[in-house]
Amino acid sequence: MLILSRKLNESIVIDGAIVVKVLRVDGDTVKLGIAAPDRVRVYRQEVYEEIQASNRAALTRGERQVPRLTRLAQAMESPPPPAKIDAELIFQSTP
Amino acid sequence: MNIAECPETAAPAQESQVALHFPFGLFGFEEVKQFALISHPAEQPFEWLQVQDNPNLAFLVLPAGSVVPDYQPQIATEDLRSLNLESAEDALILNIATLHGSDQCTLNLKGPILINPRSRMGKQVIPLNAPSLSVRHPLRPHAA
Repeated sequence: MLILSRKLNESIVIDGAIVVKVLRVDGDTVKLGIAAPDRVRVYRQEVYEEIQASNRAALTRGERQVPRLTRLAQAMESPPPPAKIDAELIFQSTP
Repeated sequence: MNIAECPETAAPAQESQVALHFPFGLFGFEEVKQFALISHPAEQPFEWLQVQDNPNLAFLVLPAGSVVPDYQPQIATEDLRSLNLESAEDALILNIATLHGSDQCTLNLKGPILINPRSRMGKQVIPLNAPSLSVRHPLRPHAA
């Protein structure tokens, strides 16, 4: 791992396109400003990993369990009229 | 074959399917970019976000707000812009459901899926208010 020391308002440049700047240092908290092209996605690591783990747990392999889901949907806590997302309706305006 | 004369051989209800492109995949599945959103009337409000080239792999999803009425993810402007959306109201927002055992189901409110219905492009996003959103929001059946 490359280790650099930076002072307040100093920056680093990554790959000529991403700038990370130290905006504030307050006790054990460092506030960073990150400027990057749109295609570069920046996340807090723990949140990214939490959602990644959730996705992996959510992936259904093989047979889809329709009957149980139907019961679950019907038993759902105080559902408002289910948002009608008949894909054909929603997407019909697409040329 | 005349389907009207053979109702038992016809599909009991119409399944609809829409192809979606996810340029960044999903978190942990960055390489998977083509999905099909599959709806079946009998499964509403649930739908399936299926890996396009592998029918055995799918995510169970619910449209945001269908069972958690006060769900208000604050979508970052950059995320809207990357899908050419002007506001979150123009988007279809889905939450991924996870089944635990036979009768437990939780909803990921922290990493919703944003879809532009016109371009059929999608992206999993982390809303600005993610710290206050649960990644395992329980869905509870009614007590009998």
